[in-house]
Amino acid sequence: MLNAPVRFDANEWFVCITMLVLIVLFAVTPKMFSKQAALCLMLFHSVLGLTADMIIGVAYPWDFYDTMDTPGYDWFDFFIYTVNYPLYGYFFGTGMKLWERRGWPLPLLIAGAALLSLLLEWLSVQFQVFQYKNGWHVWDSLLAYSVIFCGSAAFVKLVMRWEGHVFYRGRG
Amino acid sequence: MYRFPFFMFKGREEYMVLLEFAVVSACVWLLYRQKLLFRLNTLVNGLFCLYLIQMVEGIIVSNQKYVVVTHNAWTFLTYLIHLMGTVPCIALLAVYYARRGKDGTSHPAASSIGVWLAGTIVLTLGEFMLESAGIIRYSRGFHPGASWLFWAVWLAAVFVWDRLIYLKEAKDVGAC
Repeated sequence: MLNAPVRFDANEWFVCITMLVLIVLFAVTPKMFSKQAALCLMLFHSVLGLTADMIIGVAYPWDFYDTMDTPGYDWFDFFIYTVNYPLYGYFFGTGMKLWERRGWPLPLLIAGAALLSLLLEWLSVQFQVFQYKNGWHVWDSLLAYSVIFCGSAAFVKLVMRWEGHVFYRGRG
Repeated sequence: MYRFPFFMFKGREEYMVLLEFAVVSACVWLLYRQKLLFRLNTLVNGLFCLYLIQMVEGIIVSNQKYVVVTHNAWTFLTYLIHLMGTVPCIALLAVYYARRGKDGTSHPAASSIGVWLAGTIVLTLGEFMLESAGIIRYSRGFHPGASWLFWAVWLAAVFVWDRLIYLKEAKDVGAC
């Protein structure tokens, strides 16, 4: 089963506060996607986080960081993957929809999202949410985020296209 | 005692990768044939399968119920394709056949319980293969019986999720 954190300290507070902020933002902002499309975006970003952590944060092929108090999963890892990553991804999708509506260039949004994520990661490192090892540096994450948000943008476009298709069929 | 016939692949991870790849390809082809591949509903279900399997596997591995022996690229690739390709694809097919059985549109013999049982057996056999090939290793009393139970509960959760989403979608479309 899921383990309890070793100690309820800075990293747990950081996760709780960011989770709360994201939930409040989600509750008060207008919904730009259908329920199914929103669910899709959230699940995709959760899976993206889980996969990225499995590839570069576990033993093989690379082990560049640990999360929270232990290398294994605890309750707060569960919250990160189930609430924080999905809502963050959902807001990226919402931002992208607004961005495209104004006709602004998409690479600027991707760069902005990567930089914002870098800032948040730096903050989370200060709060011991991530502990780097084996030579990883916060700037290395910029490259990772750039790749991740390119994939993310492609996925949001796909969902927007399929969402339109579903609505069209529904009304027909 | 529990060795699956594919034990012959032990130490031959290349074959396991090919086998996993072949299973995923066959499943994707079947999904395509059933016109399920390019649909938002399939995407939601597939992503839910990925979320659930990765989360649960993470918890199991954290509790050292089994160890993933990824000592080289082949074993890692096999594990990755199994976890992120074979398992979700088989679950998606099971969901599809269970749905058709339930709706009575075709496959009248395919009741949800029958499909669930068949899906559980296939998923358990898939894990046997990985275990037999030495890609995962059971520990702390985890055994194939527990593995069967694990897949049974996991697939049941996917079925419940699908019913919730499918009914919601039907309701939304009706409301339009």
